[in-house]
Amino acid sequence: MKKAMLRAFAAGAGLTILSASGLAQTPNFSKYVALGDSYGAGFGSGCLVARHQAFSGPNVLARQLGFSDFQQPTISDPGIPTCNALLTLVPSVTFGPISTKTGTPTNLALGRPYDNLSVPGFKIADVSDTVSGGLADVVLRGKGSALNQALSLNPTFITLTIVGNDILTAPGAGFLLDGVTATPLAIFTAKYNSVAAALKASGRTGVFLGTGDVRQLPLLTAIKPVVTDATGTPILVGGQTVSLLGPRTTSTCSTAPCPLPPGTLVTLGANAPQAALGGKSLLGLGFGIPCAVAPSLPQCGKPLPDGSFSPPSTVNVGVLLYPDEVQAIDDRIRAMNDVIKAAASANGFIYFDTYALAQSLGATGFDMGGMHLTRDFVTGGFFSFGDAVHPSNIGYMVVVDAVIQLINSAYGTSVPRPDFSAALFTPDVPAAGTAGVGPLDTSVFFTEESWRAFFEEFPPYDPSLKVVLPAGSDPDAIERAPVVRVEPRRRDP
Amino acid sequence: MTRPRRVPLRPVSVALVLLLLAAAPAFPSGFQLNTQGARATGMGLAFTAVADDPSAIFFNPAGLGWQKHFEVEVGSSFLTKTQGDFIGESPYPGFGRTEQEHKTTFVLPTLYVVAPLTSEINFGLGIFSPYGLGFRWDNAETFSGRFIAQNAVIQTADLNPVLSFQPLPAFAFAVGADYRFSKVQLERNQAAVNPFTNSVVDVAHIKLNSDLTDNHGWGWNAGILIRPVPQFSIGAAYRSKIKVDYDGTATFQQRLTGDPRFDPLVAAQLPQGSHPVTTRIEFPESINLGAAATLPAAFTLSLEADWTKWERFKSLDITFPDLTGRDLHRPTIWKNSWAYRVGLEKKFSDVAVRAGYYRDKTPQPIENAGPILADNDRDGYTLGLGYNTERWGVDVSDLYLKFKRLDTAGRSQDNFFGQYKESANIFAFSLRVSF
Repeated sequence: MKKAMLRAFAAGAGLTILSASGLAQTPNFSKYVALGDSYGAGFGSGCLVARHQAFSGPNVLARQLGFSDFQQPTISDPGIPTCNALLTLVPSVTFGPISTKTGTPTNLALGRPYDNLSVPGFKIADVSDTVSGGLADVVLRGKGSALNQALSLNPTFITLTIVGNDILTAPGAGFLLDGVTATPLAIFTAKYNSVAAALKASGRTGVFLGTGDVRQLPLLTAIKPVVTDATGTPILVGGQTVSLLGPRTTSTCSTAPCPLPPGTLVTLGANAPQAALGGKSLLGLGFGIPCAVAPSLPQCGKPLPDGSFSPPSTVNVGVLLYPDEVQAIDDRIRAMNDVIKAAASANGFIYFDTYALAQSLGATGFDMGGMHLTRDFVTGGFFSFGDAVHPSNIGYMVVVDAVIQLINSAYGTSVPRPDFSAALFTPDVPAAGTAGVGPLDTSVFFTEESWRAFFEEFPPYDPSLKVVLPAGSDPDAIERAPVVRVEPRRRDP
Repeated sequence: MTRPRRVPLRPVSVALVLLLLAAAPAFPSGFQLNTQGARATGMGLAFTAVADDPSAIFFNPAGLGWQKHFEVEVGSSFLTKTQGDFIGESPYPGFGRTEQEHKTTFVLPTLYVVAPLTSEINFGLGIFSPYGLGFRWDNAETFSGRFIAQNAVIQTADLNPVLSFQPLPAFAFAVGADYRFSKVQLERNQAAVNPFTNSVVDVAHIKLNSDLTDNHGWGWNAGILIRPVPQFSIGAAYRSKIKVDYDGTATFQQRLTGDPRFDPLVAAQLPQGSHPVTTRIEFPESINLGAAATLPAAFTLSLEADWTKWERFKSLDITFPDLTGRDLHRPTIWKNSWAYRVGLEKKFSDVAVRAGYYRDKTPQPIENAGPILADNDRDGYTLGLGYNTERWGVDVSDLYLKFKRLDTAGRSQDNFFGQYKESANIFAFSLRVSF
């Protein structure tokens, strides 16, 4: 009743009010539609699946707004692509798909567009320009672009969660290069403004979400830039930590490989066992580790690879982000968020500062009823199994709860905050006996598959570019083990 | 005025009394306890300007100036929480989730001895429990706040010798030393994310405990009472802050999840055996101001305002000297608080009937309310009955405490949201013998 009254009140009023943050149009919650990417879809643990989609930001927000008919492109277990699960925690962290099969869409017969039109892998341009390919086939079903389908539903309230795929390839590949690992800012700006303008309409409000601080992602924080033991504890020599080695020279090191300068980030790829490396990881073989510390490792003393682009079509994935690269990516993210913020303001929407939320989580974690959650890889609770980029069900709840508080603050509404209990205590695993879910497929380690999956989820700006995972900088080692290539994302039906 | 009879003070067995007092903690005003005498309780605890029985040692020791016999008063309060309901709100533990506080009856014994030393100087000794806390939740293993606290206890036992001096028939003052024994206990479960299910599970039960006799602190108290005419009096009483440093032990008992991949990892990281733990509580100073008047038809009216410097209670800090990463710093940021009391007594020869009321303002900010302690403004309604002769007396009283409903309303430093509905009943009796 309370929710029905809330909706009725909001739908019936064409008034404007003074909100806590200034003038804001009274929101009309009579029809809510979500546009976005994997973060809007509820993607997690490397897959789209109903048990994650139930906790997608749009679905939770719709429930809190009182909707009982909010429709999503639900997918059964074991998900599309097949969901990951943690296989082992010790002696090393490994993941694997939960099945050799994939799930199936369970809501394809819906006679109208879905209310959640978020498509994993979408960049801002795809919102208006892409109609098929990959999971777009499941979400859009040949009914036109996400933007057109959204507008056909005559929404009065919209959330737009799209920017991640326009920038996250850069930290994953280890370098920022416009047109290769990031959408050029001018193009992003033009496309975002175009979508925002198309969404603008009298009486329509909503929230545009920015993207977070990549320095808080487990992808970039799980591995310390120093030599550690098997438990992750830094090894001390003479009371000092020992920096990993990279290919760049520094002011104190004129001949590469050189110790990584402070502020360098190492991606999870450095610890990914690869078939091309005989099932070992770069760090496991000794890349980046001074021989004085581990002389028995075969590749000790050789640098970890930095990312690069080999024209015309090869993205050489690296595992290092030097401080200038970190700064460049951060500057770009801030610039993109500024674009989103301005577009929101210009078109009657409010802006959600995902960047600030990410920094807060990174600094202090998140406490709920005596439970302390962090962004730590695997054990922190905020991120999902293995992909180190997408939130868990708990993480999605944290974000949507913050969005709801922003809505209430900006619009003066009283949208109830969501109940975290189910996300906190429900095991994020398929129900026992779920069809299609077999024993964990241990034949493939997650870490390499997950690494490859990252670039399927966050492909280069031009999806026809080839992504090459590093097999080390030693030519002999590369010769011994064939380079792993990730096929470009299929866009055709 | 009755001539004092000098009776030698017999030694009091501290150990025996402490044994009595070890019975239980109780319900707080903040976590202050003022039901230290049945007669005072019957008058709404507005007793600072009355203070005419041995419990004056607690309420206003200057009142001993008018007590010219060797007297002993023993008594006890029985505190029962009659309602302790929690109704959850979102985001956690969620709308519709209900919890219950455990409804134990706590026992608070008191002992007061008054010994006139000269016609102007009296010695008094009181043993009582001026502070206490008992917040224990039913169904502790499923209680939604179990990761904050399942059981929180503060117990005190004060040994309070005082000397009163009555230089003028209308004026007396007193000072005393206050030696406080105290113990604390905190139990909760430890949560962790099971990375194999990406969900929160219970991995351990943590119990922090200190012994009553091992932790103590010193303070002092004082009072003045002015009775310019027999029908009117004003009084003031002061109790100093007392700082108690606690040394105790912490034990960690694993809670098995049934996941064979996860439980051994927890076991490997969980501290084994018992470990030292320390904390500190600064019990606040308080000032009580009162006035009392004897009215026609043998009525006595007493008014009082009590102030407690609760801002002393700034934080709860628990330190594990030999364990890293487990120290707890919990800001409390309490405010100073006032309580306003009114009491009435009507005498029918040796029989007296009493009634009282008070409004006690909570020192606890809403943000700080939680499973450890959820305090709020409360109204106290009291009734009492007494039969007193010159040689002996008996008093009984009952106090009904109705707490204002506490709704965290989205403000909780624990992110544990909901409404607390509480009430309590306190029955007290005292037996007094005069020699």
